[in-house]
Amino acid sequence: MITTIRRLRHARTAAVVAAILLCAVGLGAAPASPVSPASPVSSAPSAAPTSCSGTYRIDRTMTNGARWQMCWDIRRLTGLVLSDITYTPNRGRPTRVLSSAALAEVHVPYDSGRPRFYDISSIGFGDLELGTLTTLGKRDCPTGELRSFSGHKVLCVETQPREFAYKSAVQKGVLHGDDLVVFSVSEIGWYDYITEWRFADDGSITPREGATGTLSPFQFSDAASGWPTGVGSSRFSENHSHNVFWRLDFDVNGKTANVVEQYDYTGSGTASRSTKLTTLSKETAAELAPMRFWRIKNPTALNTDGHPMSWEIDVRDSDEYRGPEHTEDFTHHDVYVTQYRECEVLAYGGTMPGCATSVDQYVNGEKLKDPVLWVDVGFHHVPRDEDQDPMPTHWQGFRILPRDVTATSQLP
Amino acid sequence: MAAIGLLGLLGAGTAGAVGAAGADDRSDHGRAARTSGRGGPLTARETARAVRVATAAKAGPGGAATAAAPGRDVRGRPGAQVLWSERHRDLGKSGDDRRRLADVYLYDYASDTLINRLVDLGTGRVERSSRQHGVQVPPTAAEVTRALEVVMADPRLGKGIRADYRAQTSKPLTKPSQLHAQGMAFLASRATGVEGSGKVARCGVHRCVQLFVRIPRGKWVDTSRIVIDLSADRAAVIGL
Repeated sequence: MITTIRRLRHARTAAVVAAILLCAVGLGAAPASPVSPASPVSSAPSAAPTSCSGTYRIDRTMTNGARWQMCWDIRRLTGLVLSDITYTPNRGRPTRVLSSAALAEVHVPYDSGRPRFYDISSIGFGDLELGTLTTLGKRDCPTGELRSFSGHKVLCVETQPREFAYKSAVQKGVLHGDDLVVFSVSEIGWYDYITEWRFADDGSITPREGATGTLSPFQFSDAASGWPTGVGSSRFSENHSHNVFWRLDFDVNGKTANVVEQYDYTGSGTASRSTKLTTLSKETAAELAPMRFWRIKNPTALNTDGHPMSWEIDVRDSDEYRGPEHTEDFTHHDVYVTQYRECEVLAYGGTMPGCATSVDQYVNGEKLKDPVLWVDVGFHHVPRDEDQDPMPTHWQGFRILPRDVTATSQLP
Repeated sequence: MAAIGLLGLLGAGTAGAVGAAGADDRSDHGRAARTSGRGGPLTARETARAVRVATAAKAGPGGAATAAAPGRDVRGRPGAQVLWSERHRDLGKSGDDRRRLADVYLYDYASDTLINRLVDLGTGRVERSSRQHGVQVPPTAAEVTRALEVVMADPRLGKGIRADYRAQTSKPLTKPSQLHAQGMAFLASRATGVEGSGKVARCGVHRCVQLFVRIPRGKWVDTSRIVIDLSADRAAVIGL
């Protein structure tokens, strides 16, 4: 019953937001009508409404005319949270992408079996007093703008160049693009984690986590579970995994009623490949596979070609860590799709009363009306001599791509 | 890399050098919280009000009708330990920021209870309240400081950590603020199959932490096998 009430409130809020959005861009049409991508830059729509202002609002127009808008916040456990993420394609209209996006766990198990760290749920990325949220300086954010939270500069917002947005011999053109880069840093034990989101001028989003700082100064093992670092072969720095979980609450074109589809391209040892579409109507735990992607679509928002607007989840680089049964079931899948619940924020170690504690348990057969996606990307780190202080940053992440958000390429 | 003494004293452990970068990262901590724009964090004034309401009031409608237990903090003083408070926002509700709500987390060391209260800063009422046993969230600075005190007061561990500090700095270690420390919640399940796990079997029901400790501008101190039971004011060394 409580869930039902929340759903209704949620739906109503979303409807109000959608109505405001339509008013703001001067659209009187029903949401199912095609959205014109071809309005000239000079009559670009006004900003989409957001739940923030001032220093907590990010609004950046890229060189090619595309625009990204969002709010940011810091939570004690998950650290940086982005919300109300809205994309305006070059020559297009604003379209809400995500209601919120944040980390949901960083799980660091060592190869000998212990220790096993839960950097979000047991330590937390957002504590200024303990310094798990790092105060940044100009050297951290050389070309960008530092934003403050509770009097501390903790967020960098900068624009970085991106090579070859396109090049075409036929069109006789080339365009170098740019990314809006938003990041915070969390010092967690001997690691420094960089929590970064890249928003490109072609609509793609790249969430990624960088880990740098220091290898564990105390975790040494043997040749079976480590690699000799330093002089000789007596000190084996222990191998370990960083399993990073992201939580993504999509609201495609401002609507919570999204549909999740899994696409596979079948055929092995044959010349042909064929599309296999699986619509996920209930909560699902899924695995990565070659030639597989997911998309979250709004079936009622069509581009001018009549195709539903959607965002694609592309995970191509994960070590697919699988931990022991019972204690680490949350690592047994790569992508989870769950029905939205307010209390389901962490992939592991949730403490909200009346709520399950990990993402594998959130998947319990509910029908998907307002889907939330959880993406787990693993990096297995076998230390090298080069990883001694200061350890070069290693990155892990995935991509979120617009699929039919606009009817044509909007780059130039 | 010279090993430093705490875990050396215990017969194992290696210390690594660490750069001093970041040692002063918290230099401006303690400045009054400011907010600049809608949707921002709780201001210092809002935080104080949220904590005052959460620690004093009975739960409001929808919450369990429990009067705030007197409780004890991490030092055994009256009143539950305040863990943290932050602006409450239903992350699914785009655009709804009309009310200022605060989540306040408390821990009562007298009953080993995690208390979560949702406070409406406009009305000054507790909207929702929960009490849970056996559930642990990350430790706060006050608890990390207390954990360091427990280690420093332990006859064997205290001697080791003071020796480490003196070896690196040529100065005596007299108080926790001389060290840079973070903490993490520790549960007994993390010690399954580990030698000495019986010593930490209560962790989870009790509030236990492990520490990351370094000497400012110096090296890490190996505390990786020490578990501090804050509910019992006791430190244990296990085979992690």
